[in-house]
Amino acid sequence: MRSKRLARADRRVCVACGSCVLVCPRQAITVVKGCYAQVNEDLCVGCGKCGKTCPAGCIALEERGSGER
Amino acid sequence: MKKKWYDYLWIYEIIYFSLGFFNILFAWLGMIDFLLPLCLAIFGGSKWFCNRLCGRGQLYTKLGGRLGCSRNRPTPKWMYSVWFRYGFLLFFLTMFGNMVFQTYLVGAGAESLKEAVKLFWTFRVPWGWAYTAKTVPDWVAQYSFGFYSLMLTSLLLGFVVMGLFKPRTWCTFCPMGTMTQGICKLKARKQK
Repeated sequence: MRSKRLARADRRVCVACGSCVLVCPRQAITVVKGCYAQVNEDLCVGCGKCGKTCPAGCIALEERGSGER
Repeated sequence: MKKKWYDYLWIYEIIYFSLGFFNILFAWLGMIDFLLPLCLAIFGGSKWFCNRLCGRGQLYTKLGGRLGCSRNRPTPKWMYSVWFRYGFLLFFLTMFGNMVFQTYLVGAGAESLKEAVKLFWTFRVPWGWAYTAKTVPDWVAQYSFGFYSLMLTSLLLGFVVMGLFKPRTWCTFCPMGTMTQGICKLKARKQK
């Protein structure tokens, strides 16, 4: 079963430092081409660890299916 | 997850700064931290250095995380705004250029070697114990003092923002990070 919530990173603000990648327990986040972090929606369980660690505060938890940003 | 060799690079960071305390010439090792991220960004189009290899980031994570040296409060918005990030990069590069010029002046004989480390581009700290005069050409030593000043200043700045905000707040406006991300963005745009 998929989680109710999932993390989404704001690619306009992300500094691509990769600290979220390191804390993600599901390896659901990748830094795309050194530009921004991207969350794999199929793997994310919405635990929110990435959002807590992000120094740029660009990752927020959202309800699944609440639409693209 | 199993630890890889590069998960221990925070130890290298401590060794680097300790070595500079005893012999300033080791400051040249810091050129790895300067050139490797650029090479990985220019040729690889990735921020693999920031993401995996940066010992400084790992050190902040360790100290600010498990060791509790960070308040873990949100970073102020302006600190990760594009204006501040690129402004700080510009300032940092200007200071770097100034340092290279000082090295040139010493090399050309217009200035004499100053055995001191300059913190926050302002405070001159005598550092003479870490260098025996005339071991290497004066400009090589001058560059060591200059480069070590730059590295130590940025490390201390990082510690301050780590304490006040998130462990890796430094990463948001780290000049190397901004520069490599800028390069990666340019590369990605070209590929489209």
